[in-house]
Amino acid sequence: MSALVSAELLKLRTTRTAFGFLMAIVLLTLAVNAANFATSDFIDEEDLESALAGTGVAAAFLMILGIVGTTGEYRHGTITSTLLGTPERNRVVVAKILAYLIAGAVLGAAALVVTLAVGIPWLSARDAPLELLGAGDYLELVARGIALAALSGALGVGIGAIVRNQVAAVVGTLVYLFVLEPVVGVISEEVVAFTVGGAQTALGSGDLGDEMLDPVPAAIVVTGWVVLLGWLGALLEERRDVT
Amino acid sequence: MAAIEVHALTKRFGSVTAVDGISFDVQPGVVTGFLGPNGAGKTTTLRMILGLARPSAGTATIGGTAYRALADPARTVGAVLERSGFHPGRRARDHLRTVARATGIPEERVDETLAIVALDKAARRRTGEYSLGMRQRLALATALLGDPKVLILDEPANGLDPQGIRWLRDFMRWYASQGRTVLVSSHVLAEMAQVADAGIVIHRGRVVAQGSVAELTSGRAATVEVQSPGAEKLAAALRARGYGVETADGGGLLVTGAEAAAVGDLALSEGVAVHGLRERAVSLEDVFFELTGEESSPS
Repeated sequence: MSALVSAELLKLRTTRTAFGFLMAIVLLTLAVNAANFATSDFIDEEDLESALAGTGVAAAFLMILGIVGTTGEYRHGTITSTLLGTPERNRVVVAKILAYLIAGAVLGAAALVVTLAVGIPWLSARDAPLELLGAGDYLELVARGIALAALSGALGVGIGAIVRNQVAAVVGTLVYLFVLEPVVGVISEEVVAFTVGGAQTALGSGDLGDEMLDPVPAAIVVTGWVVLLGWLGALLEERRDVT
Repeated sequence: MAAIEVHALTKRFGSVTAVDGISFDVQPGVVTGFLGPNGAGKTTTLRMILGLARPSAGTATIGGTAYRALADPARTVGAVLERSGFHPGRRARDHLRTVARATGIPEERVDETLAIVALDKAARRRTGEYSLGMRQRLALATALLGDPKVLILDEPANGLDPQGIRWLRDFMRWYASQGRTVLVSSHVLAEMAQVADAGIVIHRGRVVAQGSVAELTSGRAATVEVQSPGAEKLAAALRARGYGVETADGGGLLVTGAEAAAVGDLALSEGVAVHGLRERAVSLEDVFFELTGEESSPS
């Protein structure tokens, strides 16, 4: 399995796609955070934590990266050499999930570094009460951010394994996250807490109100989605023909 | 024992039966042509042999084992398929590295295979810049990474220039001469006739003939082409003896079912001059047209 994961990471490193996503994540994280740092009021600990939770933007991009990496094999036809080398398709799906967990963690770490490196001096200059955050708070911030980023990459792999068509998978995911889930949220906040996007937000942004999950249950729910989508994707891969 | 065994293999897509219960064996040590017009079911059959498509019925095994159950597929079988592709932004060498990495093949082998297919100078270019012929060579390099005992090639000459085709022919012969198995599909007969030792002809999803080229062409009448100023008189005499006679392009006669000597002797006895006399052996192409009743693609 380690050879397969290593091969998947090599695939990621040998096209410009992942570097493009890294650039987009860093620039958009900077832009979104700069607007927030400049205009928000920072009074208590929660204001600071949600401002410095750096991987919210990255999470959406990493889901797309996972989708693009998985569906790209069908789009470009590399799936043929992948499956000729490893005919057990569920092993390929598992290796991809593990590889995108790692890639997501690395790109998420980049987003966190950018957020903290810009955010701490900026907030400090605005006299925000940064002394409210202890080392443990920062540690939790980083752990949550990296967990969200890693799991988001893995979610993308599951979605891509289920929906092989790249455009359909990307568009479908964006429509689901930014149209369908908010509609569900209007109908029932209890339900939305357990959806993919709801749990991702709870994991990344911290305390958002009574209906949302705490970080650890949120991480468990997102992991559950990764396992469910990955399992379904592997099941479909096993059954479908590669043409 | 046969290297590849296909038994009653069937593939249905909805109400369409693309491959209809075909059975054949492929022997090691020879080049076996897998022949049929476009749409005959060649690619679908190869994909089922390689575990990429699931048969509706029947089995396909390599050395007695289904592809998906092979212990080390990359070192057992190498395949070039029509739709095997590359990420356009990835360098050729990196493509091979990813395949080698996944299958535990040492990285030195990547440069060896690039040299075999003469892509070593273009190894660091992105595959999006590759010509069709270069992509075919890279696909072959990918198939050769594991130095496999069985080589399965689907229309490998597509996009190759004449030199490339000659090189590929020599390569397939050399590969088979080492006791390995080469199964190569084609719809271009002229290309196969020069390299295949054995053939499997399929048409509309069924095997219509199989065996060595000698077996496939035996029992079929050869043709004699004769040029004569007294063609009409000769034609009448030939027909009177029961030979089939047609007029060839350029005024000569095509005589089926006769040997050159018999035609020459008859011309002498009829007092007709002969300006040219040539026996044409039955080619794989003749067999192919007779069996499939279709014109070969001109490509």
